[in-house]
Amino acid sequence: MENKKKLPGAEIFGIKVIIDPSMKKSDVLYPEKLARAKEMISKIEWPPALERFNKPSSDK
Amino acid sequence: MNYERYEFVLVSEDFQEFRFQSVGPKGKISMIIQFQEMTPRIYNLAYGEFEDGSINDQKNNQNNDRNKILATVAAAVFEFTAAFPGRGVYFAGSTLSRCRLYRMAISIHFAAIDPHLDVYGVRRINNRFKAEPFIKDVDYQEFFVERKPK
Repeated sequence: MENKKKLPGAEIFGIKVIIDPSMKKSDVLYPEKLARAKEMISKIEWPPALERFNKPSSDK
Repeated sequence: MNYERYEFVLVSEDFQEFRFQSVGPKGKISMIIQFQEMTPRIYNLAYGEFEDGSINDQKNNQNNDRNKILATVAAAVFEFTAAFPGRGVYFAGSTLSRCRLYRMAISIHFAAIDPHLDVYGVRRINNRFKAEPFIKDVDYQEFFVERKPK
């Protein structure tokens, strides 16, 4: 656990979320479902409050 | 909120992958939650048992902990949207019963969720798909949440 650190203030629902820098990212799982989801969201008509989701952005 | 859930969750540094263990009569089962980028602002939620490098999101693990897992996944959504308030999370049930489960869970806990997240359902009308603020008892099959602005 020495490589892992608890996220400050990250308890939501009482869960202790611990960042694990050693975690190796898995491949994108169920790519066929992800493709269907992408197709789906491209068809969604968003209400005015969510129209920004149609626009590309960088929020990092 | 004080729901029964798994208390320790590991998360990758980019917050796109969460892992925990389901514990019950069938033993310890590794669970994984992924937030998969679809656009820079919209992420797809996938979760299930972690088996040989892939998720099985249709299997009932028989650990009799469905609600506990669901609460843990919901907590991960809270965590992800707290880390990235500008990102929304899309999710759809992989089966009709899953869709119904999500609708019921959101409806039952809406008062607790609403102060933190805006919740939308996608309504299908004549081959059109319209997102609208979540209404209880509407037959949504897709859902979308985002962190409320502070």
